[in-house]
Amino acid sequence: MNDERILELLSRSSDETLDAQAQQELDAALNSSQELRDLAADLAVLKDLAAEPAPACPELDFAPLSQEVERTLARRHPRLLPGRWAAPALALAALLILSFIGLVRPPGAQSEPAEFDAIREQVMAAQEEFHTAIARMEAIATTRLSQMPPEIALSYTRNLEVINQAIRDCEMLADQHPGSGLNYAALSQSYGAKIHLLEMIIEG
Amino acid sequence: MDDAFWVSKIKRGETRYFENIYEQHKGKLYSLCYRFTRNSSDAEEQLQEIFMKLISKIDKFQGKSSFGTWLYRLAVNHLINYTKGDKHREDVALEEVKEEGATRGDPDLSMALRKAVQQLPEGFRKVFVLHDQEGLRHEEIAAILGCSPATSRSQLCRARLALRERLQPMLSRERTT
Repeated sequence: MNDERILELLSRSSDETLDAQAQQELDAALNSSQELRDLAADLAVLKDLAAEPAPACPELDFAPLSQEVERTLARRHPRLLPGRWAAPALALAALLILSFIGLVRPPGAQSEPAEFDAIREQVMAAQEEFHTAIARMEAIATTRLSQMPPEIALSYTRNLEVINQAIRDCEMLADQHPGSGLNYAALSQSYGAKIHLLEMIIEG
Repeated sequence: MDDAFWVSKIKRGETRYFENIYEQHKGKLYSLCYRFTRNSSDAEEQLQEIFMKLISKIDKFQGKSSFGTWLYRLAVNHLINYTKGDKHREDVALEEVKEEGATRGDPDLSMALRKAVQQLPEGFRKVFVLHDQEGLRHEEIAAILGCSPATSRSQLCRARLALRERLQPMLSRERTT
């Protein structure tokens, strides 16, 4: 048992639980030395003092940073236009959104059931085409993800999982309540988010 | 959505998402700034400077570590440089410590500790601030400082002993009262 090891154990003991053997060593040293007990007491006081909370962050003016962002970043990274691979999926998503709007009826409004069914059929057809288009984007995105640094790829994958879950939830709700246009609207939003994310993955 | 997602958006020119990064990290970074500057107005100023630096360096983030770790590293290095500069006030007035009202126990001892922390060697100081003041784990500190968790533990132990040595007369009085 040397002094340095005991000092290290003493310091560690204030942050974590020592294993039984280390704790035994430290206890034995503490029992045999008043100097070490004083040190332990002093370190405890210092630790408590050091941990005093910093004041909360005040409300700060974001405007100067916003200007700097525009001055530096916006020039360096001009907004990219959607890639050509995203165009079919975006067009289909737009068609879906327009169709869904047709399905949304104000409360109490009457519409012809036949007309309503026709719109719904149109939505379902567009949905199928959308899935085909998005599958093509997903294939490219999978390749891109395998070429990215793991941290970034993991982040994209997690975000995709969140959006996929949202799509599944919206699809289930749309199936359960086929008359509710709001469910279709939420679904179309989720589709839009997925296209956007896939586009980002593909373009890196 | 996590930071890497927002950063990739910003790199694509969707600069409005910088505010998401700002909102997400300003609290923790302000606290860190306060630990190094020891007063609110300097902390605000340094927080602003760190975000300015982030704007100019965000392209260099490659996702090899988490964005938070990368940002903390940038902030710690900035603050260490700041404390070396002329602008930094070495002394913390007792009145200021009292006014802040955040001291635990003896305000004189609290002020002495602040001064002693400022005088610690750089390596000790970084680990002490990040661990004992900011509450980070050794594994997080190791990632930020680019060392091993064992080195972080060892530096912390030395930092605490150095502080105790400097403050021993006051601590002895505290013990006997």
